[in-house]
Amino acid sequence: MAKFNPKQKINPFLWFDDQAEEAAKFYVTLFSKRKGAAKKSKIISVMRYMEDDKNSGKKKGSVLCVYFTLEGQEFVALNGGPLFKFNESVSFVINCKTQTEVDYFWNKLIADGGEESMCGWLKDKYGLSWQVTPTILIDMMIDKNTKKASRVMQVMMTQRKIEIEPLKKAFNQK
Amino acid sequence: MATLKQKISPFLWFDNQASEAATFYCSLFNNSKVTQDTPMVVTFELEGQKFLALNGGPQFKFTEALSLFVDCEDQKEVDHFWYKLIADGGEESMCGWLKDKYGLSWQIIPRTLMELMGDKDRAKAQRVMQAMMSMRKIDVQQLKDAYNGQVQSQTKN
Repeated sequence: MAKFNPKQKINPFLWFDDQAEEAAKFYVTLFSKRKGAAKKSKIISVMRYMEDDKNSGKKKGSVLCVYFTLEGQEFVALNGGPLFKFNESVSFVINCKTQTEVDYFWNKLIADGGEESMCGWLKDKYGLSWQVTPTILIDMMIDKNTKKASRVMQVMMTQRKIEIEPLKKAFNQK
Repeated sequence: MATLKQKISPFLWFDNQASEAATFYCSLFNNSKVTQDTPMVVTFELEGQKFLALNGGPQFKFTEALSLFVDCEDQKEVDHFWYKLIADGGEESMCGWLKDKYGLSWQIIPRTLMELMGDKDRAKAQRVMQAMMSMRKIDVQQLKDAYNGQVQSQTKN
């Protein structure tokens, strides 16, 4: 029997028209080329359609789903046909330690047809929403000093890609 | 300081039910807890995995393009998640898919299904696939019967 041993109880499952494998490879490359990545990112397995599928219009032998992991978070990507589109209702937060890391993910994810949005949000070229977020932003926003937190929030609301320095300045302002 | 063990965390956009939904999900899974409950953002863990939920207003509705796939050990676990998640206004769909009362899509899948469908004997795998396609909630015994080439449940009773 084939081995399917997800380490996670809950796996985010992404419905693509027909770009599951291309997208999985794109995400795996993105995360594995990051400097200082602590955990591996890789394609774990690929399943194929066993016969022509009327519902999705997919041919026998074409990719049905791809199972992959990005720095410890496992995903499944499906080629299910054009029925469903991604939207902002579910996004993925990338927890970044530094501005360099924020810049890296931001620039790679908006490339080739992706789209910038506000407050660290973007859509990649497949329409999937990501939030490229420095962890220090969260730390400042949940600070017990709500005046400081609220100043940070106000600056953040004006940013597309998150810039850490202006946020810190707002936080430390006297 | 917020400690984030995961590099990537799924982030769910609710109208105004983030806290209620997080509490509900935590009641279904082991090793789960709400870790932070603020008016805007709620963070919670399900089986040790970190999620965020936002009260973001009514702009965005969940779609089937993004579902959560639950890896179940046996039929008992499938039944547990299925019935809890479709309760109080959830909705059954096909092939182990459902929507919960907040509209979020889940797939409740026994590990056996993936194993049988991945079998090297493609005729067996194909029979399992066909049996699965006719199911709403996944029935492990029927999948095994299909795998073994036994008659389907219609004539079994």
